[in-house]
Amino acid sequence: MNIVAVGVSHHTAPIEIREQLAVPMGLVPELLHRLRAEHIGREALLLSTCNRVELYAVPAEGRTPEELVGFLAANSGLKDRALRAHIFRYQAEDAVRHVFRVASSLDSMVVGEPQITGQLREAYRLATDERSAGPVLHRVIDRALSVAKRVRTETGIGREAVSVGRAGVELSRQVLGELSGRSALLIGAGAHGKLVAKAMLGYGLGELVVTNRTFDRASELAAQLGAAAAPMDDIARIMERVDVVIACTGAGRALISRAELAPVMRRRRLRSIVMIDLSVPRNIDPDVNQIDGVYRFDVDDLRQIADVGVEKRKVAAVEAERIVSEEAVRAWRQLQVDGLIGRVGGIARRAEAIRAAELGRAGLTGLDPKQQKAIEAMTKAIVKKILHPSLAQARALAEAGEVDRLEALLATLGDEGEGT
Amino acid sequence: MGGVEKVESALAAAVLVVWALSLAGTRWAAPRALTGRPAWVGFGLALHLASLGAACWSAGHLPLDSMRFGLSALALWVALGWGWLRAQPRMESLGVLLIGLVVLLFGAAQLAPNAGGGTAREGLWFPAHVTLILVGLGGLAVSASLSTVFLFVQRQLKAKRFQGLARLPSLDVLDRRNYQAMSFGFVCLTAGMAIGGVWAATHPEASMGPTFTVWGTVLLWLWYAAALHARLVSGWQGRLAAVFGVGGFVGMGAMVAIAAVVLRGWH
Repeated sequence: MNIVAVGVSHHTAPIEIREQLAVPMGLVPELLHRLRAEHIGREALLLSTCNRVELYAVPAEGRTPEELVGFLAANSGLKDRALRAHIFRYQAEDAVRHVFRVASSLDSMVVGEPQITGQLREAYRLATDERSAGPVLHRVIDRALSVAKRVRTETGIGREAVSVGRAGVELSRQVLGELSGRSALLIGAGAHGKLVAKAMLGYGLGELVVTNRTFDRASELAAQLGAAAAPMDDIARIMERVDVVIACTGAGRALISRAELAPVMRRRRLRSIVMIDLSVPRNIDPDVNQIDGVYRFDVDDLRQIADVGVEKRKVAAVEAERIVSEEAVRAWRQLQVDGLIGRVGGIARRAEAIRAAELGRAGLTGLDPKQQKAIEAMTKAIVKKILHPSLAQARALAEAGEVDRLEALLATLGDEGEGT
Repeated sequence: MGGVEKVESALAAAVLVVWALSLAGTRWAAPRALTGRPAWVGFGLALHLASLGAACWSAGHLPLDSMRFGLSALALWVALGWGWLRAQPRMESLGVLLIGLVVLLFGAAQLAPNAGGGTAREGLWFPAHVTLILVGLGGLAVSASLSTVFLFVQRQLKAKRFQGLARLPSLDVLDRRNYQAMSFGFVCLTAGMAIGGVWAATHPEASMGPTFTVWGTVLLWLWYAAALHARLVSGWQGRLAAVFGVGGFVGMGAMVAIAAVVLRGWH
């Protein structure tokens, strides 16, 4: 049994690489399906957010983590070599620890931010619906979500977090001053975009307009935020008057280009506009930053602002890391025990098969049914009595988490290990 | 050196020391220094005013046509401009520029010629002309410092370098204050020029023709008039307004330097 975590995150790859690897939520089931259909992974879960594209998988028989990396590269269109420089790879206990760190927001751009837990839960739901999450991933992700809850409760790491929303507010205020009386346009219904918009409303934002590919979704979100909804076609017209544009869609391409924004800025008479692009791949062409009066920021910029309070969060993170390590060791041991318990069951089944085969070879057809039943019961009792002390000891070792001793015991019982 | 001159020199030295210490105590240099506190700035302003009073006492009249007195008074107006800005949030860091300019102007005043051109001093028109011109130049100097900080903050934001920006005002505040300072300076300059023109026309004995500083001030006026017109009509705000603010100040500095070093007087 092995579990592997491969992928890129804001720690290992710039946004240019991350956006090429990013998988829109609608395409995740297809990718998981292909991974299993091509016999690369037995179980798989794909987490694709602004800050990370990560694959958690149990490789299929004889497959290596490098083949999972190759699968990601092939899916992104990036050259294998270009991607490998940015990819991280974790296996076994390290992979479990990584998943726990991600779920607990210790690996996040803004350490302690709560969104990642929800994003992992959503990725898990997709994997479960696609039936690509098996016993190993079920156990790991269930545990990861519990660990995240424990970290949040016991360390208060979330209380110290400078949220993405707050970082967006701070950058906007550096350009526009106070937000009261200002107006903003929210493009898309992404979680981070919603957070920034909410934070701005908390700072007195005067007007918020929400637009989305589907107008119904825009109306729904607008109702939640106390904003107005507008059709996507009106973006250029709305940009002529708003002070902030927040883009957070899964469009996978630039929705606002420099050529489109330049005439808008002329009509605005160069009045400053803040453009916050929280999408990966980016929705606002980075070149718009070269236009006078346009201040474009993306997730990596928000990270810089969020890092301001990093020292305070480090204190909480130390305790959180201890919890995650402790839980990862325990979970990994439990996973191994689960695998070994399966092998204990296998020994009993093999002994039973041997008994049945030997009984068949003995040729008891001459005996009457009553005699046959008696011999059957006797041989079963013999096998059971021979195996019972060892199997009981194996179960006791499993309960105690004594993986090495259990492994040795199984070897003496003739177990040939995984894959047999 | 008589007793009055000694007092004048001692006060000038004290003012220079107080402003130099104030510069060293600005938020960027020493955030908690005593010399960066409002009380210290108030002390500097009072001492500066006393120094100007001593200059009047020493001259026996209001030496408005003296280069030394003029530069010293200009330094005082810039210091007052700093006092106005300092009262607003996140403006402390501008002290480096404005107090630096005060030190520079006051230091230059001590090296500048003290004698005036003997211009007629009767009535209120000439003092009004000089005062308004100097107040106007002070306002434009404050505008230039705001413009410089605007261009710095904008460059940092565009380059995604956010370190230390939280201590500086927002671009919007810098732009609005720049507009206010520039408008104030421009109105004072306009009024000062108009009064000066009327005064020169009504005092032919002063032989006040179109001198270098007169032409220089007219060019400066045109420059700022263009900046304000472009802002009001075409919306040239933000970076373009800041470029005008810095450019105008460079021209103003060159004009004052030539007047002080080459012409040895205002006119």
